[in-house]
Amino acid sequence: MLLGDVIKMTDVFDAFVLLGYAVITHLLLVNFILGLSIIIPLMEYYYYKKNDQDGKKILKNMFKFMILSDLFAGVWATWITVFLGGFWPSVTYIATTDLFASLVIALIGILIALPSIGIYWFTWDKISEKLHVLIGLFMAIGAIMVASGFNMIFAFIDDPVGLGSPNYVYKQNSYFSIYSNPLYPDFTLHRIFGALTLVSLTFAGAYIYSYLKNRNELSKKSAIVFIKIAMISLPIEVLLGFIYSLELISNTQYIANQIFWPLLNTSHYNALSILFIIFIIFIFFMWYLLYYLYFSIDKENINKIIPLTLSSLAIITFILGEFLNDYSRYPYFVITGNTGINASQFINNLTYLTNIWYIMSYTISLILLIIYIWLINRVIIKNKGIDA
Amino acid sequence: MKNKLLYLLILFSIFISISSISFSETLSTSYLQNNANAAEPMTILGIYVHGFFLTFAVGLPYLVLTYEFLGIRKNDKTYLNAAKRLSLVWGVSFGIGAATGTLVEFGLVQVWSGTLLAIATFFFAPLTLELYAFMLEIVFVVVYIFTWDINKPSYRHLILGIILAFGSNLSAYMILAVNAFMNVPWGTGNLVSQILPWSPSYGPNYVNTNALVSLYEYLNKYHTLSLASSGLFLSTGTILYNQWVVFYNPDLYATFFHTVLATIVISSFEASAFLGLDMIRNKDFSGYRKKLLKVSFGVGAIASILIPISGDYMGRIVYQFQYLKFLAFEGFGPNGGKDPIMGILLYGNPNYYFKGYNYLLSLAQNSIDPTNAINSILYIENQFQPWAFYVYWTMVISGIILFIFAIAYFGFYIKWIENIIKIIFRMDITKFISYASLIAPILGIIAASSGWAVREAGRHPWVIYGLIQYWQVITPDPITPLLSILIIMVELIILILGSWAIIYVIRRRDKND
Repeated sequence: MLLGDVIKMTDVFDAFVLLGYAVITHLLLVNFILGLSIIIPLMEYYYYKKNDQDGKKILKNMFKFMILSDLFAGVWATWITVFLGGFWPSVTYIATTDLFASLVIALIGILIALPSIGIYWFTWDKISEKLHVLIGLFMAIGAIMVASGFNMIFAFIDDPVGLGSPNYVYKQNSYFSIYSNPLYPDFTLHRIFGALTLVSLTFAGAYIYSYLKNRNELSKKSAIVFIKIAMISLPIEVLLGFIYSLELISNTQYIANQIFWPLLNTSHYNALSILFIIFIIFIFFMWYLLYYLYFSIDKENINKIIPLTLSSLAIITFILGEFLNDYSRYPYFVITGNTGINASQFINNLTYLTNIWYIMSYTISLILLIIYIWLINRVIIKNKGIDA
Repeated sequence: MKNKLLYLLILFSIFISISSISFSETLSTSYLQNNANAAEPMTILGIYVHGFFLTFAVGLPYLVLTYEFLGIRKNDKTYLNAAKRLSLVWGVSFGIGAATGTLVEFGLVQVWSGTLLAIATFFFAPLTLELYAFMLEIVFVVVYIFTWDINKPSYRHLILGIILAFGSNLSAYMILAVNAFMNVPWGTGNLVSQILPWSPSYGPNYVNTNALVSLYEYLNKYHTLSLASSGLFLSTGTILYNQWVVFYNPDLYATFFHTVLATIVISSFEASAFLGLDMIRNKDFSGYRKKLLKVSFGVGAIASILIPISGDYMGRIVYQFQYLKFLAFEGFGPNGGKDPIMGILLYGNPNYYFKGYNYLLSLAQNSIDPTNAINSILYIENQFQPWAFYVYWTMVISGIILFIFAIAYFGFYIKWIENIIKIIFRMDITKFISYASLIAPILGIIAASSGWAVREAGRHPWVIYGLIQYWQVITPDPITPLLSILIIMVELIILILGSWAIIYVIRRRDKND
């Protein structure tokens, strides 16, 4: 279609892909925030106990990364809200009505996390260390509340416990009936440990690279801390992922058939199964790299590409996992066991849109991503600007 | 430890409050009206708190950039330091504005979930463009604030600030486009006049009237639940043919200029208040504070002089498109009457007779929905006018005092004004402006809050004037008083913490200067 062609919003696939793109980008950023919100105060407490001032310097740099990511994640969050309302008003209404309680929890989480981040930043080195750690813990609690609130949406569209009939709005006894969703607890834990793994692997790779380049002991120390975190979080995440897969097989067969086709021997052959195999290979390869780097960090002849590969793979694997999770639903928006509610049922056809909205969205968001990376390079890597 | 306990208490209370709620089996109109009434206080406060911080984000750039321009041009560190310090306030208020914006956003899609119908149609273009403006702001707020180089003032840095200011003003323009449509639903042609027969045509017709009437009936019958069934989307069909129509709204132009001028007035006078307070405390009415005060109060004064022009334009829009509101805030009785000033301003005739509520009630019989048309009139006459009249005139009087302060400011440059100040107040111009700067921001905030109260409450019970009522867009989920109180508590905490952060940012840097 040419620029300016009038299309109806019933172009379901375009709208689905645009939403998926925004969701995955947002999730990548917020998982960095979630992971760092938990790791930073815990590491601060660890360094405080050990009276390690160098360690705290590194934490401050990581926190700058988190603030920048938070700013940009906020943009994507607004984008998702506007596009959900614009393209998918019906499903947004159902979600906000049926999942009222979990979204309120997420909102409260945001309102705890954001001021905590600000206070944590401005009170760095200005108040007692104990109190500062305590503020950091509030930040972590807020971030976990946000994750646990919003993850209900994903659990709900995979297994819509509480979805009413015929108009999809439920009438149950309390806000909390949605919490009987069997996918929810494991999925939420999987996401939280996934965030810890994403952060620890990415930063482990980055600090090892920095150490190999400059032989800076501080970088080595940080790298080892992150490797140790990843050594704990990665196996837990894999275990939770395995349990989640079993739950999908028993509750959300449509997605299971799409992704686990080789294992289930069903007739749903498609590219997603191949991607899933690549996803699994990546996870085990990262696991291998993690141990390899841990045991050979002091060797002289390590190729600098290896830690960079670890960082890149952590991000790519995360994106791949989210892509599998989101795209496996298509052409359905909400999955109900072996079938689902077709996305076309929810698409907005109350107005016309032109292609310009799609083109602008992709163009502007890509520019924004480039600026985000430029700022990360300037503020974090080159360490210019931003002081509390 | 106290903070921790407070947070835990809030969380615990929220869990207790929302876990004890039972759903209503039926969605009667009275249930939805009660639900909407319960949700209104937290919504109103949330928007005011959001607006308070955004006042700085939109209005303060004009002062910051003026300081920076003067600093670069005159190579003067005093101006540059002031610009740098105030740019931090700009950044902090932007951050808090973004956080409270999230709260408002949730309120819109979750509590007032029926507005999703508007987001899916009329609001899509302005909200998407607002998103792009927000992106611009995010990028440039980081770049502008964290690339200050006080030793090397440059026009390049100033340009970054201008782009940031453009982003925040563009963002305000888009949000006000949404608000303007809610007050004057431009592009719906004669549709509103079918429901409220005294209304004029709201511009060209870019909507499918039959589809909108069906939607109106759907909302009357099924409320927001109609959004959950595919029936609404399949049977009503296309509603809006032109995405851009919201930008042709004359109310948007008036509201935008008036709002931006108001933000400049408030933020410039607030900055002046810090300087004025220091000057009075230290009994020092000269030096660098005076230099900075002359600029900050000057920016506010220019805006205060311009604001009656935009205010007059807004008044004419209200008269033309929301006649009911006009009757209320001008204090007309049931039969209307004469108002010489309004008569001259609008018709050049002091004896012009303005028709009153009774005349509109007679027209309401011709509505396709006479009950709602009559209820709209009765609400304005009996519930809105009794307080709105005073609130409106509070705004006007505050504006007049600010206008007088603005004229007095020119005593710095015009001898006869300085002499008049000396004769009346027995103090020199600097001292007078120092004292005036303590009162001016308060008057500005009162004027803005009053203006918005009259504007928004004056379209009640309509969310979108003449088309969608407030109870038709409320969530079916029960909004309990406890939940409402807890959200209000959170909003107040943000207001207090945010205000503290702004004062902290301004005061903290004092030691380094």
